[in-house]
Amino acid sequence: MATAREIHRHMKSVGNIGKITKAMKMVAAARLRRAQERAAASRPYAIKIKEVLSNVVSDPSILAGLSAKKHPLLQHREVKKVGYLVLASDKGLAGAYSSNALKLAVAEISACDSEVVVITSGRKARDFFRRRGYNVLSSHMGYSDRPSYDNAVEIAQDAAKRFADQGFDELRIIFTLFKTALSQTPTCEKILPVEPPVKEKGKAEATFMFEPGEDETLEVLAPKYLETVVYAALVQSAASELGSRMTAMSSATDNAAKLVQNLELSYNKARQATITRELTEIVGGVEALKQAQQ
Amino acid sequence: MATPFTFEIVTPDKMLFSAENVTYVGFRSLSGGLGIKAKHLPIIATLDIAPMKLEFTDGTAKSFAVCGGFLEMKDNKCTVLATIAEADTDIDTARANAAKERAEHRLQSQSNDIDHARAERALKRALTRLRAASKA
Repeated sequence: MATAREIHRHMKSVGNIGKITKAMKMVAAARLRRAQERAAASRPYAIKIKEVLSNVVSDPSILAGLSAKKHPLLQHREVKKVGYLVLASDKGLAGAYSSNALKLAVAEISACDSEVVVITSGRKARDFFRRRGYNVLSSHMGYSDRPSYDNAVEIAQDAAKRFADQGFDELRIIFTLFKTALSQTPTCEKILPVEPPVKEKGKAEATFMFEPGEDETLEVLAPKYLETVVYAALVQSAASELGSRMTAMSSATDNAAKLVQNLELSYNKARQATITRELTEIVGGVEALKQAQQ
Repeated sequence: MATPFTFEIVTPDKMLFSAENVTYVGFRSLSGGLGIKAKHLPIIATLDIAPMKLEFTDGTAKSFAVCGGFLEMKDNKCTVLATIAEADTDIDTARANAAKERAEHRLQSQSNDIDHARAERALKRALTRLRAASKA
């Protein structure tokens, strides 16, 4: 059995860890709120750009007549190589957030018959795929819990360039969809080649004039659309990371409190046991002295 | 009085500006300058890096520095989608001036290891900001 002093020291260190996890939980909660606000603020742009894209390609025949050179992002090729863009966190202590996303990625990759290449976002994703010897084309990191639109542009441009250079024939993105702070789902979506959203039927749409023309509009629009898709995924993943971190740190704080309680009990027991032992020793000593005098 | 229409500028981060009483929007598309008034035909325009000018029912005007994007006009509602956009009152002229000098310097240096297209775009952005700001 540990001495009272040892238990006391253990208790103190657990209490300190509890304080740290509590602080981390509060930081994550504050950032989560901001991340959610940002996600809401980015929605109008994403919706609108999708709408514009569906207006441009309102007639599917437009797509058929495109030249491969001008619109590399819209080209369907025979799929020989599949790219995976995997989003995970930079830092740990976020519960199972990164490992859930990476688990889905591995499952998707092993289910894929074609050759696989990987683009990573977040330090955890890079380390994971490097260590396991996957073909990692490029890694982006340093922003996972607060992505800016520029980060999305950087990733989208990198991916678009590699796609155009035949680095892969299809790109799928693995990100974590944020539902609530307690529930996040890793998700896989195909993002390249760009599939223009299909407009709901029955809506009488006005026919648009295009300035300069449909072709040129699409040339600028397709990369922008890809950027918004990547940005939406980054924002979702950031919210998931923070939500997951908040829950993990919250339960860590609870566990620390429970541990401290148990330790306090054993500390009191050990202290009491020492007192009892000392008392018996004194009483025993007195008795022995008495017997010796008689 | 000119008929007003609804106008908004949306960037990826936020809804930058919206108003109900706009009577005229002047901007530059990739194929040249355009102006839009109320009840314009539905149009989708791809924007150049240039200032955008708004006129309101009360006779005032406002400029924005818009760095590429799209403009859509439909049902008397005009929406601008811009990756980067700034209102004339928000522009940091000192910063834009510095950016302009930097870009000009790069373009003059003639060395091969600079990204010419990138420097040109930076110069265009800086000039757009300065022009938009000067109209404030």
